[in-house]
Amino acid sequence: MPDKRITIRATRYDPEKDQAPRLQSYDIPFYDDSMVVLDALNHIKSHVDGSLSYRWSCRMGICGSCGMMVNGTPKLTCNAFLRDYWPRSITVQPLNNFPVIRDLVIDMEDFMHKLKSVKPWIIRKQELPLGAGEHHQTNEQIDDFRQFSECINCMLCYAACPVYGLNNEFLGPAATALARRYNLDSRDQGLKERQPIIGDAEGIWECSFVGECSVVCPKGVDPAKAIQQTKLDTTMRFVLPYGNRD
Amino acid sequence: MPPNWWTRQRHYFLYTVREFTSVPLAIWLLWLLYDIRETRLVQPAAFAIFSIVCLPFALYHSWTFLSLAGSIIHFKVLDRPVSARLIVASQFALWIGASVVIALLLVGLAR
Repeated sequence: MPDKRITIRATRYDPEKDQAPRLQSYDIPFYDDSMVVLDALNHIKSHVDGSLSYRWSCRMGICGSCGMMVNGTPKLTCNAFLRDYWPRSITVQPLNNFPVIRDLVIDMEDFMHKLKSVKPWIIRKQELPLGAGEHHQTNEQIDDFRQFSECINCMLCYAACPVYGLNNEFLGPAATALARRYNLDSRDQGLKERQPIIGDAEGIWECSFVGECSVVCPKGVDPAKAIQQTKLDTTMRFVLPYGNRD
Repeated sequence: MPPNWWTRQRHYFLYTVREFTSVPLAIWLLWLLYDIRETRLVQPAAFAIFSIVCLPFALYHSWTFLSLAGSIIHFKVLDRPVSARLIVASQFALWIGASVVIALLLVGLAR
């Protein structure tokens, strides 16, 4: 029997029964320094309360499914170590700024809609036949967009963004970062298709550069940088006619 | 979002302070424009005191703005991206240089 224990306070909310979300405490064993918050939730679900609902998948910071508020900060729970909080209790809540479906599960429909709206895929005016061979890129051309391609759509940046919290029409950090990722790709020709969305009043211009999106990003994408650079590029494209690109 | 959202995180608070510093700077600028229109300092003592009050706001705003320049400006020299640190350093150098030139100009005009 392990000696060390830790208290997890998790949001519980069943829209069919509860008027509002509430916190429920679970005292669980903390048997290994490598334990993360997701392990604690899994322990609760397996041994204490099987009705606790939350999303998770890969357990290694790749899938972006297990984002939650951990003591008020958006984090991937698979990357939030209990040892960093113990002996204090840990409060786990659903991501800020999103509707809650149940317990720790948020409704990501709004983000998925925004993500799709910026067409985060390579757009070609005319597809080349397969026989024409591959599109070549230099390392320097890949470096132009590599950082922004690391986004795993975990939505921590949206939970951290007060601008999105105050106005959920805002396109938001991750969608803009991914739009920039493709706009900077030398194979892509879709800038003009994305520009009406990212250059809209609810797009990049809504951002006031709080910068918290970049602070909480678990992959170092720096969406705030993507947004500010897009603002600068959009302005230059507007004032310099030769800045236009097909 | 609760009304006190900006007190919840240190980062939010510093952001709000950064944005707030624009208010006294805008007032100072309007005051200056008014004095320029009048071609004299209407209330020299009050303007001097208000300028001193505004100085830390101006310094904080400039400092935060220029520190962020590395995230905003991006360009390449000889096909290699210029580092954010160098961009920030150049912004501060330009800021200090411009301040020195303006100070010398004002001192020269005052003589």
